[in-house]
Amino acid sequence: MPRFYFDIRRDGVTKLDTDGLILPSVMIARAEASRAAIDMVREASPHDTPELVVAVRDEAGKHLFEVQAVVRVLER
Amino acid sequence: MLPQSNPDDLHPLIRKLESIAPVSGDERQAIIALPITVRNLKAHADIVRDQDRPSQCCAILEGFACRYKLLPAGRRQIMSFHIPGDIPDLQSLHLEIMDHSLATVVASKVAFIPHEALRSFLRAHPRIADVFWRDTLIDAAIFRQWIVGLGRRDACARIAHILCEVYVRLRAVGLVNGQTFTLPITQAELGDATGVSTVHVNRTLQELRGNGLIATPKGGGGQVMIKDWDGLQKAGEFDPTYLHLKKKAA
Repeated sequence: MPRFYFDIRRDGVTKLDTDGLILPSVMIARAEASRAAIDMVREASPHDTPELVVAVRDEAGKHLFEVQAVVRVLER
Repeated sequence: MLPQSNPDDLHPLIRKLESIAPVSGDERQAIIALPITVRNLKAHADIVRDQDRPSQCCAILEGFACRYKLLPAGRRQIMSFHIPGDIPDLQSLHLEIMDHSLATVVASKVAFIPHEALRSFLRAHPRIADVFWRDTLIDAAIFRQWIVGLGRRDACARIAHILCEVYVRLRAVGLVNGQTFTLPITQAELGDATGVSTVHVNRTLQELRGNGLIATPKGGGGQVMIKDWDGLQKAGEFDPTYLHLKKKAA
């Protein structure tokens, strides 16, 4: 089974995944990245306008996809 | 046909009871005399299932177990972890039908105690019945902490809290090596226990290591080395008071 790396980008700052996670397929990795993005954006402070990106690489370092979770306040 | 009961078999149970209340010599002898069936179970073996009506209780002697509930679409909530000395299904003595399942997390040695034998024993030793009652109350206190965690703590605090809790519980029964202990669970299982997605668990553990709070040696079989005990407790908002351990054990 392949290993995927989930880097977290928050406000332009990226925290690289040094361990990776072994998952059955890219499809599963996409589902897990979405879950992680939702989990993490839930923890953001209400004073932020958090934009959180989970960027997924494969073992060769190739960028596969990224999941963005955005909470945006629109003033009326 | 019950296999010959080795007097040492129930030592983990005695050690666990002694960590929360005094146990007299007579009471110790009576525990050792309980008729038990010792079994070696594989990892991920169900000990008792949701909706079962068991006629015996199960004491964990070696290994690690968890209470869990399976939900539709294969989702799972792990509700507690259990270490040697725990009798996680003690409730079956008074509640006829199980509302959750109990399974081993790794290969474990367990002792089954028939309800009738346990009942007569507790009637003959009411002080030990009090200790079992105390243990059940502490079980409930642990659930309360998990509720607070699931409801209000972030992933990092939930995970740090569980690490602290398992460490302190294992330490109370002499199953740690200084500040190193074994938590033989997968990241997915940790996620099922804390309501955190697997990737987030993975990243949170990296964060705890990066902040110098813990080390998790690769190939260590779930070994966790606490590098900064005060820091880890603070990260988990952990205060061991709710475990009600006797002074010398805490």
